[in-house]
Amino acid sequence: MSSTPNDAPTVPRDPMVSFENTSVQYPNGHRALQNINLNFYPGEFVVIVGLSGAGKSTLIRCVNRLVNPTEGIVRVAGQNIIGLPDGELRKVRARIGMIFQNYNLVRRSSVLRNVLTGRLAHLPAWRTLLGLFPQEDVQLALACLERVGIPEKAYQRADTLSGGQQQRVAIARALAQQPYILLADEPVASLDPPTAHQVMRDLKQLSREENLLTLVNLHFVDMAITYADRIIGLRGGELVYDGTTEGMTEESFEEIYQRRIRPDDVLIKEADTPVEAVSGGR
Amino acid sequence: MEDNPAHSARPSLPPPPPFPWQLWAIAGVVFAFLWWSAVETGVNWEAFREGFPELGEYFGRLLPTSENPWPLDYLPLIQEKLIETIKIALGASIIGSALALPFALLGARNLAAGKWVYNLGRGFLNLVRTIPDLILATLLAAVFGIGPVAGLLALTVFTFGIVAKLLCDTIETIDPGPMESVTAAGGSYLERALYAAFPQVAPDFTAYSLYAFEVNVRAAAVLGLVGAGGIGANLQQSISFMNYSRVGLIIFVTFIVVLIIDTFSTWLRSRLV
Amino acid sequence: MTPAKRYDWLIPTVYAVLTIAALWWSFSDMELTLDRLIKGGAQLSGILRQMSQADWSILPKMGQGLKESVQIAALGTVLAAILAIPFGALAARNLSGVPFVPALGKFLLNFIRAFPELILAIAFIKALGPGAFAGVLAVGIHSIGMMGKLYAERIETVDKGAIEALTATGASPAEVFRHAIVPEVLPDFLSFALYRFDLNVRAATVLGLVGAGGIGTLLDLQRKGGKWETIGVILLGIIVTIGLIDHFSAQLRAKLA
Repeated sequence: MSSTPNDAPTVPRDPMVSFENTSVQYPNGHRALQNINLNFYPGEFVVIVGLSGAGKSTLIRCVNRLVNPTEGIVRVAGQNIIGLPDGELRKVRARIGMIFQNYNLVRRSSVLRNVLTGRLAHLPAWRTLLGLFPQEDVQLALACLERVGIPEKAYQRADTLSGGQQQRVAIARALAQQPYILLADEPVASLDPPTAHQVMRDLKQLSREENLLTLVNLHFVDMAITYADRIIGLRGGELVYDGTTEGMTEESFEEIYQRRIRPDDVLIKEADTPVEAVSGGR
Repeated sequence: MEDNPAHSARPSLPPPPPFPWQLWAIAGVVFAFLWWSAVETGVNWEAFREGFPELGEYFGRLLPTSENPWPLDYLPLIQEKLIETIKIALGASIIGSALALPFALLGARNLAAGKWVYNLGRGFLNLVRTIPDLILATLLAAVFGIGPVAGLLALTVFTFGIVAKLLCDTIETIDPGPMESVTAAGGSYLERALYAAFPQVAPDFTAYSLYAFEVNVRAAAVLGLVGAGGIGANLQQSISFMNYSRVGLIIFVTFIVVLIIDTFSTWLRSRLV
Repeated sequence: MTPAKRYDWLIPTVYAVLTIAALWWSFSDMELTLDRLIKGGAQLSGILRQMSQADWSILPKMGQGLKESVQIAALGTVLAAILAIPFGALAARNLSGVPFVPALGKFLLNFIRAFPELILAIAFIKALGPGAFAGVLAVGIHSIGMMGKLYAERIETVDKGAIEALTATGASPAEVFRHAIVPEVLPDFLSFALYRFDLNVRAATVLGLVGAGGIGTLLDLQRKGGKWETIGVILLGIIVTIGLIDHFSAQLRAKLA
């Protein structure tokens, strides 16, 4: 896999994703995002925090336009993606990988086939509709599986894997797209603590190794502190925090949430297994 | 591809799965069977294309037009037969369900007097359910004479098959608790069935009987085509006399009746569960 | 005894009264006299005796007829399985944009389902002549009703997550359909087809009674001739055939789940 996508901006301070006065208002009047102005840079590992309904999901879905902003501009690699025709939008999405809380794999298909679906947007229609993936794409998919550590599961049905393994398949699928950006919507909410930490470590490592801008929604405040380079805090659709984890504690989140931290905001309850430091190895 | 030297005992790639010869062979056989079937049954697309306009014409003649309206004066004549159709369906549903209840209570797996009884019961049930209702109807018409009696008997057997199976399946999934209490209190088999099992399945039983009634009304409508009573006889006659406007009227009225009964029955069933 | 319990007997009694009244009404004007039943019963025992003297010479013709019925059912089911796809897609609430289209589609499917197969068969016979082809079409067209409804319901409950994920990778709607929806619903569609095939074999045996090919034609002939010795054998053949198909259909469907 390439270490830096060739066509990504190489000048370090040009943002990869930027929100300019972006707002999202749903037809029922609910304002999910209000006047967001943000820049995200290549290779950053950003954690977005906030209560449910604060707008975290909406924010990251604006990046690949699974949600359409009602006001303002969203730029990806400098290009305004609002109002893009479908064909162009698909090209943009092809370079943005996304993983979900419930993995969203095609359950009855094999693991390999699932990873290969990451290549769909990169292949001509006749190949995709007949399901004839060329050898090099298959090799790429297998390499991605190796990268996430589960090559031996390649031909198993996706629903026979454990939660953590399924999430890894989802990550492999995203990697197969050779993305510049990785979006993760509550990727560890359905996993047990050791597996959750494993996945977060993997995501952080990938972000470093591939210089991949990663935006992660998390509601566990301790994980946010442990893994983030940068934290974005949302409340009621508005940006209320944008900064590093320097000196942040769980209490700092009470400022963002405007309420006391509760036990389910924290992954590791008191006096449990200590959080392992982020390191290079697996 | 990046390689991390920290990984020494890494899991390796599995061998790719072998070509699924079996699957393709089966597909081939199925396809060959279908092709051969098409040839043997005379599937003939030219004939279909030629016959299609004629077909359209027949269906067209069923619909009421200005020069060819539906003979509404025919309605009172078929009224009696329509009611007969409903009677057949109703009677068959009631008797069939009534027979199915004791059968299911005696023969369900968790109630039966023994494995032998259970297997016999299941076997008998499968046998009964295998016979198509109209075949039974036409044979019974030969025995009991043409008319609604044959239809009633045929559909009774048909209903029995449907309701008994549904009921058996339901009884097998009930809570064993109440039955254990009855046994613990020294109750007999009959008492167990009546006081523990039946109350739990009573609403389902009614729902199944209603469902059977819905199916029976549809079945009863065509019984007459094989001489077993109901509106089907008029239908057969009208077709033979090529009086297609009558045919159209009969089909339409039957459809309305079936629709009304279906809707009413479905509503009743939803109130039960 | 609490007041409520005093009326406990009321509902079952009302039930019983209603049921008996309904039964009474259904038997009225039906010439269901005891006399008739006794006569029929006597005839029945005579017939059963005839049946026990089974005439096995009918076997080859019976085999032919049964084979034809199975073929009619198979072709009709395949026809319906394929043609029902667009209908099912139209009737599925999550596929079409326009709101009234699914309702229209469902109504159309219910209409086709309600239309009795026998009548369809007779219509096709009139247009195309008697024989198996008319049977295939009757079975096929009628089955579209049920298959289309099953398809639509299955499509409506498809896993939205996989669809969202594939859309997020930049796949086109056709590609999403091919790689997220099809793998999920195809085994179920096959299962529906097997179930319908099972029902269609029964239908195909009956259609012969009006001349649309298969074992029904032979049965009708024997009945008109009063040849109960052969009818018994034919009935046995029908039961065995349908029974076998029931069994294999159930096994295959269990594997697909």
